Amino acid sequence: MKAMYLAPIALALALAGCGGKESYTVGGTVNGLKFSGMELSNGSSKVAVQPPADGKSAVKFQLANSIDYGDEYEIVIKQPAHQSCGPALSGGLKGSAGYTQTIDVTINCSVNAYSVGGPVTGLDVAGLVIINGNGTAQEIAKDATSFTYTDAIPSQSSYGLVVLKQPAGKSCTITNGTGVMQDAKVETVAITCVPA
Amino acid sequence: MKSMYVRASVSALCAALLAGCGGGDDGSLVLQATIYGLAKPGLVLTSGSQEVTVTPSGSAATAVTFPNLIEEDSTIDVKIKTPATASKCEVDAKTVGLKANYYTARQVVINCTTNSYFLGGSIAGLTGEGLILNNGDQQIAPAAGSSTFTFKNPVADGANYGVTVLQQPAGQVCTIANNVGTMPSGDLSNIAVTCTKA
Repeated sequence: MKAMYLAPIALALALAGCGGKESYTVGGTVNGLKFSGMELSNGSSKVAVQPPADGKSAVKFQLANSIDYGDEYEIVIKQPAHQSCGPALSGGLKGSAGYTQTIDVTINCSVNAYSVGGPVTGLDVAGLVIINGNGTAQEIAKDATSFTYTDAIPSQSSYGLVVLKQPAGKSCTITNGTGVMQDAKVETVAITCVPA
Repeated sequence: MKSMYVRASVSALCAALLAGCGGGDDGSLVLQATIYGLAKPGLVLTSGSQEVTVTPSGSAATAVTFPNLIEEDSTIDVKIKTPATASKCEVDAKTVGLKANYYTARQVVINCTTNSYFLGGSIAGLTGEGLILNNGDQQIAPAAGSSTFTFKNPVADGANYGVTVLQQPAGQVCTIANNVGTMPSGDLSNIAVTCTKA
């Protein structure tokens, strides 16, 4: 008689112990966020995520509405300015509550980078080398009519293309070689070479 | 009788195995080191009596293998004989002094940093506010009346630099001389900015 009562109680306790959690918060971590404008949502629940004060720490986020055991979630990213963010693991923004103990999604962000380049005129010899700051030294080929600098420039970074080495017998100048990268590639940097 | 043959052949096998393992001068293990941050030539490493010269790979990590194999269970003892030119190099202490095995003999780590120096120069005639000079993504904004400038972040020995005017000051035009070059083994201060009325 006694045992008959005890068994269901023990079972109930055991079930409560392992699956007692009925409501799950949807949250996670954003790495590499540098600019504002990011918004994460799951259904109608939304949260704005701001970049960290030091510009490099990870940022935690949590959506206001919890979801029930077994409910599906799918975090949708509204991208911050100048950056692209996505799940650290492919498919990591979707799931079902309870599949893991906590919903802790990792999102990585990188700053968008764009190329700089433009037309080249008068370069009929080899040996012209250009640089951007401490970046890669790039030789522009003989008879080139256009160039694209090898290092992409992150959005909102400054750049300044200069001639590191003049080709034999020519003097090359760079116009529009300095600026701050916006959110599109730059094709207006012009290299003009004339007889030295 | 039978067991004697077995014993004999087992011991012969043992001897062959040991010989194969390098009972002689050379061991059986490839000794490999990975050097991080190596940008300059000239690094020479030693392990006992053997040495190897390391050439920078151009990427973040440079791997080098010593010419001779080392013995199993010998102590891994890689030292820096000569650091790379204009660099500081250190053996990661956690990766040496260990007993050599297949894994430890391939996990020696050496960290190098290239010496870096400050980049700057003189400014003449700057009366307007708003001048911004840049070396690629590094910027500095000298105030009106400044006569010198120095970029905040040092530049590695041997790296190229190219300083340009990102923004002209109000009412003035500034030009730069000596703005392109290769960083020497010391601070550089011969970049000359001259500003005149626009």
